[in-house]
Amino acid sequence: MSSRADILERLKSQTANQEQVALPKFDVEYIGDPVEKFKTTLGELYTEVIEVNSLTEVASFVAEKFEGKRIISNVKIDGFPYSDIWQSEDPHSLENVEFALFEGTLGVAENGAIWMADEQMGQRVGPFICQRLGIIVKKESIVPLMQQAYEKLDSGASGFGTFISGPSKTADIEQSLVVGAHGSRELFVFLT
Amino acid sequence: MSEGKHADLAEKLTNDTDRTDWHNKSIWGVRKKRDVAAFGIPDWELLRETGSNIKDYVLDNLHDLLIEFEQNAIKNGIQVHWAADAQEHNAIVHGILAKHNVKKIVKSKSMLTEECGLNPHLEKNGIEVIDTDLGERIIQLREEHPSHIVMPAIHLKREEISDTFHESWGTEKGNFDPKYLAGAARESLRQDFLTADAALTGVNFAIAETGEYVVCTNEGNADMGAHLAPVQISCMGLEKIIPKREHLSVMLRLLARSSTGQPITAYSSHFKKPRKGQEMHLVLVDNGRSRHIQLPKFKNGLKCIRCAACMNTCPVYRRSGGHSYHVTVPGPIGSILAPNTNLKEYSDLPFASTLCGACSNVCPVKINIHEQLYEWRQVIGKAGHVESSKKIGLKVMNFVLSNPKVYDIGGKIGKKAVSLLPYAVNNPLNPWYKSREMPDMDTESFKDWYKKNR
Amino acid sequence: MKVSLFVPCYIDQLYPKTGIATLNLLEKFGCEVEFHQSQTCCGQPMANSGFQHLTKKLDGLNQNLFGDADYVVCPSGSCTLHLKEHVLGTQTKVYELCEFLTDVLKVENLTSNFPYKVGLHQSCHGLRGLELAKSSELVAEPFSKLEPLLKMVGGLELSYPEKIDECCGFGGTFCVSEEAVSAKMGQDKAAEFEADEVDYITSADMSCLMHIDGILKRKKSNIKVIHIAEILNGLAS
Repeated sequence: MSSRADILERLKSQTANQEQVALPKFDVEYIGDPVEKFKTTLGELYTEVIEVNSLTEVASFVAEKFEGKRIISNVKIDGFPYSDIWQSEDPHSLENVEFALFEGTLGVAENGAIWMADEQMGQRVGPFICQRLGIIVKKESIVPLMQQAYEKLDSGASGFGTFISGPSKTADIEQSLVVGAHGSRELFVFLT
Repeated sequence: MSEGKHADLAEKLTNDTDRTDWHNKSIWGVRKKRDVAAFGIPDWELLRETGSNIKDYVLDNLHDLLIEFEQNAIKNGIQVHWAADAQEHNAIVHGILAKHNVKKIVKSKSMLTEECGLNPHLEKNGIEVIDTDLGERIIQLREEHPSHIVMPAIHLKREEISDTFHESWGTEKGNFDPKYLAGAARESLRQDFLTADAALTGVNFAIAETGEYVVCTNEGNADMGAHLAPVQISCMGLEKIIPKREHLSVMLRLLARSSTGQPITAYSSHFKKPRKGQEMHLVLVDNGRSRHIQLPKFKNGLKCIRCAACMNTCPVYRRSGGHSYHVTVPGPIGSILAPNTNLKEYSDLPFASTLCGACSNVCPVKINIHEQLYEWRQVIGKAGHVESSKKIGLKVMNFVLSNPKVYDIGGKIGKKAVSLLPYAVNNPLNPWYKSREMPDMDTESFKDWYKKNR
Repeated sequence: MKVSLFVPCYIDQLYPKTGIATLNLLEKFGCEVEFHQSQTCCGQPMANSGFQHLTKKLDGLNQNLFGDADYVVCPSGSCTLHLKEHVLGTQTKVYELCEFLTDVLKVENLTSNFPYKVGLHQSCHGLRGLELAKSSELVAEPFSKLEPLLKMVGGLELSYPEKIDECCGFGGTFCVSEEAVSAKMGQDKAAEFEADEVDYITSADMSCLMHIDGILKRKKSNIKVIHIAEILNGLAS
């Protein structure tokens, strides 16, 4: 017998008829204003949250801060250099990217997590390999808890999606927190 | 793995009081962070209850959920493999790597591959294996085993890590600033990510409904590996399944808070389909789990989501260190999982506890860990794996306590000889006295007092 | 109210004062207390060591003596828990002393005085097993069945150690089979009480106190241990 058949055979005897209960509605009151909570949570997670009135502000912030460095963006902004060649290149070629800009699908107030899927990333490695990461999040997309996030998210088309909540970090050396492990060293969240 | 039994191995740490205090304090700090995170959610206990229910459902329906998951994963373009044991798991992984002529593989943290001994197997076959989680990389360079499942190098001091990096990578000798050391690791491992032919990850949750699986890291190492390499392999224990995506909302809320006190890990990546040009493999591993699930009293140990909260709260773990458990998953949860794999070898572990119960109270999926420790003791006692000195002492004591007349006489004679009391059961050298004074033995018993006064 | 008193083996042999204080307290509150000279032990030392299958005779003895009692009261959280979970089952009403005073007798006043600073050690089996108080791990409203009783005692200043409910490391046979870790846990526990400069350490479990006392005496500390029954009953009686 194959291992698969063998394993499944053994598990079959353990199957119990049990109803799957619906998830309860969890308390959202304690979150307060989701946008405010989202901002403070991300602040505690070593993230710079910048409120902007327009995408042009994002463009000028990036242009000024990362002048002369390699920037990639999966967001089309008026007056901001945009090229989509990198999206079909070998992911290894993104090694020298200093700053990468993406748009998040939604933000979660309780933990500062921002969802992004293949469509937003262009290249899966993009948000991870860049030295600094920028994500645009619409205030109206912010939900209180993970529960509401999954209610809103479509699990259909994308082959990959991720919640990002801050720059990469490690505390593996004597529990001392070091920001900037393998993923991005900094995260900028632009709230529109 | 360390040789010996827990009580003796523990002394390696306890003999150095400063180091024991440092270890205890450091890990207690994580428990405190967990408390802050948990107490930040008013309905935390409802969340735990819900997480527990989801996992109970999973264990009762694992057969169907695995089939559903497999079908959906295959539909998504993932190649699914089944491994009965560690050996088959290692052979499957090696087979995939050999087919692609892989010379170098980067791995993110996977306690399962540690359990299966994958690294030595691949290295024996000429494949360079790079652990990319910083803690795992540190212990890999030092040729040690993890002492904690979330913080594998928590037993090491920064000075020791600095020496290791100096020897391995030529970092500045005597520079033990964590920022500097982590920076050096980032540079070194970035080269590994860029040159690896394959990437391997563990799995935190696999969703039956969608055929996708979730990998959580703070460092971003799973993603760096998986999104660069042409071949991705992920290995998971059978029990990592959850029914639906909505259940992730509960599990992800519980996991990081219980684990490190963070509201969520920096990255929670949902892998569903290979990217263009990439090949994705998933290995489902049994290795004793389908046997474990058939033990009614111990079944729910398989609900574990590997958060390590039970280790961080455990007063014994904090003072004895992870290596004293001589098994991949240490601490309270390890002590109820390990006996299922080898009763005799791990017969000491269920006794490496005071049954204080703090582990069960922090467990995000409400595993009754301390009750299972007690139950394992009964299994081990019946199987005759208890130390013989203890066995004889307890049998004598049981005889005395089971016979009131003997007890009354034994109490009178025995008190001075200290043969009766629980702490004196294996008394050849009287370990009680090593660090403690004896209680005053020269007292009239309550029974005698009662006879005179009532 | 008829109460059957269960006196744990080590209290009978080593700490009779605790037994006497328990008896006096119960009588003070009008209980008709019976005590069986033929009782010995709850069986926990064997069971926790993996030999519950050998304690059938002892379990039978306890079932015969206590199975039909209106209430069984025991001055030890740990022994109470063992009797409840593994020997007498739920059909018998088994109570730890403080639990009985609070939940059944609903005691609101005590006449005793104890003008000392007292550190409360929350023994694990009472705390987490019998739920005598909210343990620090659980997100719930704080409560305690010990603290209000201690607050009824005149002159008593109550304090808790820094790790408010960490195990002291006694653990039955653990204290000898895992001597090194057990001793270290006890030393750490003692150090926290010393830092608080308490005069006494109390608990609803004398076994924990026996272990902590052994550590304190080795250190030649002035801190004394005392079972909660003796404080609640008052020293003089």
